[in-house]
Amino acid sequence: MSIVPKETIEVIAQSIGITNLSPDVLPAIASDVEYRVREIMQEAIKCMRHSRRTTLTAVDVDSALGLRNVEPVYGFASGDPLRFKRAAGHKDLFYIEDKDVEFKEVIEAPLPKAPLDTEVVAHWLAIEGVQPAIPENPPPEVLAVPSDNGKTAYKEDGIPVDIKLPVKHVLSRELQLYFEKITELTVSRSDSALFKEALVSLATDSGIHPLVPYFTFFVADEVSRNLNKFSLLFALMRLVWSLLQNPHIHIEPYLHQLMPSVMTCLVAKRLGNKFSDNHWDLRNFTANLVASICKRFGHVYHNLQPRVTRTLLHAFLDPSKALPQHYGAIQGLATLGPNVVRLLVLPNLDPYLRLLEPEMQLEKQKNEVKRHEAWLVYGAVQLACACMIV
Amino acid sequence: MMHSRDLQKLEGVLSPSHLEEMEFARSLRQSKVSVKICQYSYDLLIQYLHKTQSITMLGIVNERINFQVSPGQPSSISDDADVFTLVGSGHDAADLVNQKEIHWGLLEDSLEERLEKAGDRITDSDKADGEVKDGDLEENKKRSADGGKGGSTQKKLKKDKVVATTGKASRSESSTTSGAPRVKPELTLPIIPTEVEHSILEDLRNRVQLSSMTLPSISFYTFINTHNGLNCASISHDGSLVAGGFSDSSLKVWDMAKLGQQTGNTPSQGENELAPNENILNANAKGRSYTLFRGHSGPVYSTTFSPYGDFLLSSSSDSTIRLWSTKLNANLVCYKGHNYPVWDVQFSPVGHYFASASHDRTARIWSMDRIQPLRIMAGHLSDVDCVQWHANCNYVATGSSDRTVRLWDVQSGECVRIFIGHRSMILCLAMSPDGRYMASGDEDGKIMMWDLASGRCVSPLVGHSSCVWSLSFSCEGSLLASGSADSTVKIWDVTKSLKVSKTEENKNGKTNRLRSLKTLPTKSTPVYALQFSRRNLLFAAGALTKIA
Repeated sequence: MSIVPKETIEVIAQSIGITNLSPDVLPAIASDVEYRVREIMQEAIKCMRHSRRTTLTAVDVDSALGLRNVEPVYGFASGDPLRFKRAAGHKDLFYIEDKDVEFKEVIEAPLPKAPLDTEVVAHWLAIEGVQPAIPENPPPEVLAVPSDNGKTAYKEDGIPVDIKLPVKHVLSRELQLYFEKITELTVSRSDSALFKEALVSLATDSGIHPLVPYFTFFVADEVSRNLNKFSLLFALMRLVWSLLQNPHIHIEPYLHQLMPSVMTCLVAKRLGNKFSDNHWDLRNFTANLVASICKRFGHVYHNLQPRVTRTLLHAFLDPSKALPQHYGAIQGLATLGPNVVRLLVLPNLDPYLRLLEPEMQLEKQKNEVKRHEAWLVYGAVQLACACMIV
Repeated sequence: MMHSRDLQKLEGVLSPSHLEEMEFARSLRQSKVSVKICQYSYDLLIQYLHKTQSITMLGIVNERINFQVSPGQPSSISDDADVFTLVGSGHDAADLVNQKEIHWGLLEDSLEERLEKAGDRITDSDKADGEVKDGDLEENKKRSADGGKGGSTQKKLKKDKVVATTGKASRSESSTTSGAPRVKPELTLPIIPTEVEHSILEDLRNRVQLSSMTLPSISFYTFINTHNGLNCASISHDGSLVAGGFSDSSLKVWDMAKLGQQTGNTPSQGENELAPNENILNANAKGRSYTLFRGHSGPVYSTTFSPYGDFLLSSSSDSTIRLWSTKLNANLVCYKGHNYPVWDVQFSPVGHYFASASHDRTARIWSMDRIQPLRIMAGHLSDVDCVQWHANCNYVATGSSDRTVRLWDVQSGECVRIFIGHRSMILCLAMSPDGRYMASGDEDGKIMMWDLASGRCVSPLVGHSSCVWSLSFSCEGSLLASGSADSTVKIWDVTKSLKVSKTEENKNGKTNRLRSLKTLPTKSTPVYALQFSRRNLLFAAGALTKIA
């Protein structure tokens, strides 16, 4: 019936010095003690629930004792479980081990680190019912992915925003043909009049919104794989330009995929094959593209422009980067506007020119190509400063 | 086992004096337990008792048990919610109470009513704007995919600008709120200042209509580094302020709107040295990112914001309730009336009045301008754990450890409804905005929907595996959100559950089970508080707990 045996009462009584308890008192005390302990535990559970926890701690028991006007039990805190050791000589007696601690050690020990202060961090748990795959949310379960044709696979690879199963994207036959035609033109015949027509169509057509994710994926993919094919890169940048010009499509959600490819075309080390390709033009074009993106979407995305400028600044200030990269960076910074130039380029101009000077002179730099590049960079720097003054 | 908790309690009774002390045992002795039994089983039992001549057993059975004999086949126990009550007052008393008349309608001349009347006169010019707003919506999706933490409230503001294209159209079929009858207020209501009224009307106009098709967006406020010290959390009605009550007696309030703006501002200044990581909250600039309110001398068990966000109430184990001003950052009043810890305190939907629930088995109604309570509502058999105001401020609901929920009339202070059906302590309550239904969550994870007029349970919602800490109805009453200790937020469909309950029982009797629309897990963060803003954006708060 009762959990507390009368031997326990006897032992506890002996430990505080009472040795002359009569045997019929013991069961009565035992049952009473058990009732009281159960009462306190139930109160402690209530305190635990109101502290919004599911594990009982010593604090809860102390609050429960306080509720019943009993002095709390001192010396216990919830942490490691208590370690009991068997008493020598008795087979049933256990005690809690207490270590002896020297005062000197405690006083001279270094102070422990202060715990961090409480903070509140906000994040989206769900957007319209869908849980976004951001680090603050738990990782999604393995979804049963429909292993389908290429188009739906494209959508999953290209747009890692949704966790819900990809909606079967039904593209009409005409749209599919359109997409295939344009990609083929971009890849193979990017200097033809047909391509120019295609660009105009991309910039003005209102019905191509369903194709936007596919286009962005196509651009990102092609740029990452074909950095040595100059004409392809230029064609891709023109494609992006046209897409941005189109007033009928919402391109903002896909900006974060387009930006890396655009920035690559601006500050990559080597665009196209070395000698024959006029990558300077590409960089100029791309710089203008970047500037127009920042102007159009900068106020909506607060960290877009800072991120762009940071990338450009790193490219600019890093002496280990090649001169064409510097060129791209300077062009980018210049097109972003006079303020940017004034704040970012001018203060660093002195050390940069000191770096650049030797590259421009015939005696120090024997390599003709490098000297040519250096002069072009110099020209870009001058242009940047000029636009700031104007 | 159904009655395992009760049996555990009774196990502790080991002597006659304990029997006198324990309230539960006393209440059992004072009334009869009712047991539902079918005719055949009843006959068998009586036959056996007579045959074996067990006179004492017969005596006990006659004295203490009230058999409700039903003809026919034995029915399954699990579907019958009434079986679990051994409660003292018994079913008869509860039924008597439940026959009293209550007026559960909404207040006359509330802001929603005024808006509807105005809305009928305005034409649908907003439909055209719908397209542009869709763009904003996708923008928000992308933003969060980038993981930018800092501008969270700006995200919220952008989201609020989205006017659902169906907004105007659905208002005509509109919600249950327009269909509810109107009642006069029993209390003198405070006057709303005009700017506040205008901002609320603006919110109401821009409200996103939610339904089982359109699920809400949830913005989650996570408390980190709490070291198990966070006892309660509360979010203001517009979602910009978060308050946390701690076990070290402190109350901390974070202004999320200001924090969001700070991190938004720093990157846009063009400096030489750009901030290395914009995602860190700019706590270093001011020292602390929260306002600390000190005054209580015991752990703070509950906090609540006034409907217009300018006052904050907190209740603590030192049996006092304190009123704080968020504008002045100071303690204004200390209300002393209870003698035991105050477990819960709630502002009324119109402000100025509040109700408190305490360990002393009473709930009290106070007004902000008096330090003595206006009404004391006594009647529960065990301590009152949670309290909630009805939408028309004429009734207050309380949930208790005696596993019942009671509805009290504010003017007379008497109990007008008793809701029996929970099997464990009730942790949270929520009232539907049309005033017709109420939801209550208990520590087993079961949520029950009650019809206030009849006092019956509409349907139990089963799904959580651990305590339900918080419930909240969406503003048009179509969705119920629940936050639990199992670190999930579940969204339930209210309209479907009501329709299902109206049909007659099926053969398997499972009509009352309801499906949940969505379960959203969090990263080891039990959800302490939920609040639908006036624009139907769901805010949730919880403390990040280390997995032991």
